[in-house]
Amino acid sequence: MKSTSFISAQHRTKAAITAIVFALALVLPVVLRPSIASALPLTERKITIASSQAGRDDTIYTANFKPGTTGTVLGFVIEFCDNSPLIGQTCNAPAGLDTNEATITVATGWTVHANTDANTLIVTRGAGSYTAGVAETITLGTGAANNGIDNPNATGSYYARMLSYAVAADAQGYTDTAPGTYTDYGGVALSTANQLTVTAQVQEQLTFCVGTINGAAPADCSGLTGTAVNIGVVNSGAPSVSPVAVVNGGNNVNGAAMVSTNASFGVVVTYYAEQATSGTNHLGSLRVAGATCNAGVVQTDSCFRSPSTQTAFDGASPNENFGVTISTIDTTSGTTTNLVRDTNYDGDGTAAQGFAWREDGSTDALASSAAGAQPENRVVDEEMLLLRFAARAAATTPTGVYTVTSTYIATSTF
Amino acid sequence: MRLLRGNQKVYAALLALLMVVPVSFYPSSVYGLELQNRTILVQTSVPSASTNHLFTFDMLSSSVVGSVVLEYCSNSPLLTEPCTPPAGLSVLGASLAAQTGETGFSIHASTTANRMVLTRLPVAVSPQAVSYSFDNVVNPSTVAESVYVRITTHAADDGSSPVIDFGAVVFSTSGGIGVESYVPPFLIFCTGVTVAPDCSSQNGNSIDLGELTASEARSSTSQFAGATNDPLGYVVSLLGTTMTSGTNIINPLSSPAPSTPGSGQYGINLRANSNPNVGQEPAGVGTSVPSGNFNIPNQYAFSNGVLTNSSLPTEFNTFTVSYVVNVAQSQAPGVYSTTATYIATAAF
Repeated sequence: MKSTSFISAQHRTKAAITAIVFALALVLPVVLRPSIASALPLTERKITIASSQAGRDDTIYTANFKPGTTGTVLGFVIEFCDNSPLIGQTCNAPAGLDTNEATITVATGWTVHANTDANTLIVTRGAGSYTAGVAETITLGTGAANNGIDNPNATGSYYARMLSYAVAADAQGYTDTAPGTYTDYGGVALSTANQLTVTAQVQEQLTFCVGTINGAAPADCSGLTGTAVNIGVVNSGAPSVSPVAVVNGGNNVNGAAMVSTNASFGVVVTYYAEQATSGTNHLGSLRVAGATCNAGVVQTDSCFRSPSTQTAFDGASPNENFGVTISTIDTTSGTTTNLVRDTNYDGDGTAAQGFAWREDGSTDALASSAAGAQPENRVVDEEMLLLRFAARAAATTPTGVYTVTSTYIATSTF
Repeated sequence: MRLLRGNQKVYAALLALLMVVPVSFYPSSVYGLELQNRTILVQTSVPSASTNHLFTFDMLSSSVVGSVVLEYCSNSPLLTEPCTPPAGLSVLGASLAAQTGETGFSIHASTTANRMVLTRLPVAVSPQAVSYSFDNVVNPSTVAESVYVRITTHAADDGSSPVIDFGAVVFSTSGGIGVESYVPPFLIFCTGVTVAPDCSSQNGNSIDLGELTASEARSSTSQFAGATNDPLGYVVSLLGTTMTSGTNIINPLSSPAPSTPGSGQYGINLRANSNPNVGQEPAGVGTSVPSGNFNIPNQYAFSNGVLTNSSLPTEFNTFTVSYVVNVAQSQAPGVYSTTATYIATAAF
């Protein structure tokens, strides 16, 4: 071969590469193909894992595939490797993966064979066949303790080799490099992954507002404004109860207090009557500014009587009274119905149901959610107390303009 | 040790930062326990008011605690967030009015307008409920504002050391509601054959005395009731005449006198009588009383003028007017009648 000696170095390199590629082209099909010339690939094959968490124990693995061959199948092998899915290659068992071979159960009809080890699951059965193209499923484990696959400890890819056998003994003799005579085959890739932990913090919340209203509750506190309720001309007959129409001297509004809180121990809404800075006695009553009033129940001075407990305003003497009640708790703007009215303020706005007023400047509870059995029964979402003020004069109540100011407080316990 | 080059120093710094930042930004992994049953009770929620703030909560740790910090923020209760001081709020003039549970605290000099630092000699706490009450806290000036208070405990006595336990409470400023009403002048008065004590009803306006005879007195009644809030009270007056029939009259009793059948008499009074058996005593809690001529049982009189009087504002009184008529044998026949008009007057 004289001519060979004339090939240049460059040409020798190209020739060598060409030779290697050619050689690989000859070898690879041999490596990638099964050792059994008649074996066909399992198609549409996959293994669904119930959890990709690395190190997760007792995970249910579900193998799905369609056989390539129609015929008897009495053995099936699933081998897990972290290096390669190729049949016949040396298999490195994924660190931490464990088939729990002693206790795992598989799909009905299959029995885990004693030759099963930590990364090679061998199942056999006495009778059965596959039909080419018909989907099959083999479920490994139930998820109960020691009845599932323990995932590899590390995150990342690993593989499963799946082989079906017509003869159970062939499956029982499976090793990674000597898989025996199998019918169909295939490899799948799996992966464990990091879990994503989401952390959030819900801050303490209390939204509380006081205003005046005539109608349904606003969507939130931004819709609640106003500070004055005018109950107009108060006579000695029926009480004037807010809202009092303009034609009767009122301003046609009620008071309202709206609250929202996520306090797990609930919220208490209280009020107190601001004490007048001039005059004497009954400083937190409905009174004429600067009036000199008498202690006790006197219906001839310029301070209204204020019953501290719920009192009907349609009774006989003493019939001079001023008070407030919560005729309803409007929950239409929120999602809870947890506020409960105090029994002194749970009237319906009628004279017969009555009203009450704490005039001494101490706080008095109007409503609370604190008695709820569970935290979800104590949180409050946009619940509005409708405050209806009422006054009834005695025949002797002196004429004049009467006023009182009250302050409202919401106290949440977290 | 080998010195780091410039880029390596930067990387090292970034690495150190990456190691530190998660620690600083993630409270739950750093701090101790969350204070439980925590609440703030504000004595008044009126904006800008100087008032009392009462904090209560349960300490759960058994750590050494030398300070408790209460930081008011308008933006967030989270310790990881910068704190925005609520406008107008100030604890600089506050005093520690009371303390329970873990005690021995006083206000530290490092306290600022929105950050109250309670200090004491550091000692181990016992898990228990505690409370701290402050007077003269100036509320935030914004109406209807949610204000958060971050509560933390520290080993150091000045709030400077790492947080031990933590928690937050929230309160809200709110506007008050003013109620206004007007009580007008009252003069409530009613008349009828019968009236309700509060004038809610009245019935009848005519009385038939039947046939007058010389042998027996004829009598009947009507009623009136009234009340007023006039500071000077009110009077009820009678305006009318004796009974007449054309030009014939029955003699009116110009002064109180008993009923005497066979004599011409026309008189009234406002008391219960037995001769004849007619009338009722005045009723009601009011202060009105009959005038002298009409206030003697079994004595009757007739004259225009004041029937009842109250010099004070008065609740309702009901008066029963007893009419007594006697005629002489010589009384001219005819249908005798009269109209009595009752007038209530208040001055205001």
